[in-house]
Amino acid sequence: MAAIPILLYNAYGGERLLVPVSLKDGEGRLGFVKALIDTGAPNTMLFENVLEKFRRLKAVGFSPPKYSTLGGANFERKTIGNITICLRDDADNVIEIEHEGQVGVSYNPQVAKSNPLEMILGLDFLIAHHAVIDLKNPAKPVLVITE
Amino acid sequence: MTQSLEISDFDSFTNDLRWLSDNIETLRPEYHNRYVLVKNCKIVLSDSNYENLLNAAIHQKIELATAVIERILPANVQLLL
Repeated sequence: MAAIPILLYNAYGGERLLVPVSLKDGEGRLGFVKALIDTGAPNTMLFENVLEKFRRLKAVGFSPPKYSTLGGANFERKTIGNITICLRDDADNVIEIEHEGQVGVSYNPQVAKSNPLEMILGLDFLIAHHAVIDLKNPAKPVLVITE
Repeated sequence: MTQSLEISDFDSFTNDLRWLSDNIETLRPEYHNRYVLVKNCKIVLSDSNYENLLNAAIHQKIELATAVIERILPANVQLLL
């Protein structure tokens, strides 16, 4: 069991639950992304701006293709293979969780250009790790997970 | 050592996110609809185009791996999924 400090993040026109995530792939460390905790999203997903930020990541389409619609915008979900999601707990341990990485790629340049999201931690991740979002102390919200 | 380095990177990244969240209203008039790159609790780069921002960061040898990059939304826009 681990308690991951999370943030009530205010940059999207209201408070959203955000967790800092460090990503690794088979070649090692990639870097940090801001991950939105979204209980309404079935899939954990990165977005194409992360492919631009960490340029060695390559996305491959599924056959047949898979799609997600977010806020009315269509994204094709592509795989980047297994990645490691690294989270820091409240005792300063880094918890590493293997996950099949998927990237949402939009074919609408306006959506691709304006999407500020980097990653969504969706229900698949939250269920797999028996997550509890604890907002009892709004100044110190935590995501409790089972590794 | 690797663990302690990673923890300090977590601290920096989290502090930059918190700083941006806490100061979004004062930053918005200057940066709205622009991407900003935050390091050490200050905006070090901004551009209306994400790719241009990344290229400028690479050109200036700013480490992207630990940088917070955010698009500052207009005040009347709320991002929903």
